[in-house]
Amino acid sequence: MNHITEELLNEYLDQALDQAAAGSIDRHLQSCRVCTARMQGLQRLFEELAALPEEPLTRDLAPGILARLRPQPAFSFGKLLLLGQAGTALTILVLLAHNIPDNLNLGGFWHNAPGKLPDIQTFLLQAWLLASRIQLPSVEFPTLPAPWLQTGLDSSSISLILASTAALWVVGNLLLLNKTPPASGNTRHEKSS
Amino acid sequence: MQTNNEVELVNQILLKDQQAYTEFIHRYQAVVFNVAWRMLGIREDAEDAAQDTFLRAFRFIKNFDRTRPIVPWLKQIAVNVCFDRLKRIPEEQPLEEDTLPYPDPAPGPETQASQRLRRERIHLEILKLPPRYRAVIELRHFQELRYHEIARVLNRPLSDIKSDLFRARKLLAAALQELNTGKSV
Repeated sequence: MNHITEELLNEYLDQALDQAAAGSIDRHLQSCRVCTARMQGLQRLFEELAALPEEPLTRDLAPGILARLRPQPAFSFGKLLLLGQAGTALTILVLLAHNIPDNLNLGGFWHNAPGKLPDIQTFLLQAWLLASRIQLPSVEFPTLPAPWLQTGLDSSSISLILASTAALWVVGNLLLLNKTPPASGNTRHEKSS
Repeated sequence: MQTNNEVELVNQILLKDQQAYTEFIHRYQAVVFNVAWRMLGIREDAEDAAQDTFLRAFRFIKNFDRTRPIVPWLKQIAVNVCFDRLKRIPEEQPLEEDTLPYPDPAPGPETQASQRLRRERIHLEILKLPPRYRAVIELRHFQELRYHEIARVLNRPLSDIKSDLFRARKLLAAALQELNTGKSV
């Protein structure tokens, strides 16, 4: 005699079989003690599971949930600070970018581009001189020799160093911004049943 | 079918009424907690999972079909929240003794065990199952979903659901058999 497969027995108890298949199982069970015992074993398990008691909830979950529901500000002070730094670094990077091709030997393309920015040394010198002229009510900036002029580096090298620093600054800030943990739960949309 | 009261409550939540949020949580927190308790077995984890369930439910409540009852929907979200948590734990990691909700009782004849102890033991056996087996047992036996409904909730093929369910039952039945004969589990 062929016994009922595990799958059929489970589907029979779950009432997942059509009428004909269920009828066939009924007939087999009437004459097979082995399959009847297997079915009774599963039935006992079902009953034991159904008898598991409810566990009492010992605290109110509402305050915790409501606290997490309150809208969080889109940008905290820390985030704004990071964004400001990233923006500054990006601006420096853009200002310096036109000097980098000197080292990368990209030919005349860059220098022939319209609206080319001034040489980096000229730019920094002008900025330094401008800053030196700023006068506050009781403080005057001393006129000092620009320190980078004494390093012996040419403008492309200075640009490369500053651009690399700025690039690292941008990347670092973006990494810090991304580190902010997302809201709990996954993003799978819960469809209504 | 939802009662008018339930529909009204959901409508109020959609209008961001704080009182409605509180009432909704109070009404269903025990049900949601019990799903998490059965699947996780650690009170603190179950409470956290219940909180996450409500947060997820509130996020997606605008998609909820208000002609349907709300409890099954919430329970299914709870199963997914618990399942996601369990998936983050390496499957081969055995259930540690001190994380079990009840002490593993000394082996002894079933006739001497109290009914409560026996139920605790069955819950323990569920907690020893792999996460996906626990999920199908919860959805089939405690939420009485059909195979295709379980497949939809867990977003897995029907054949996998059947296979997991039957294997889970086999493991539980074997544990139950050992319990009946008084052997150590």
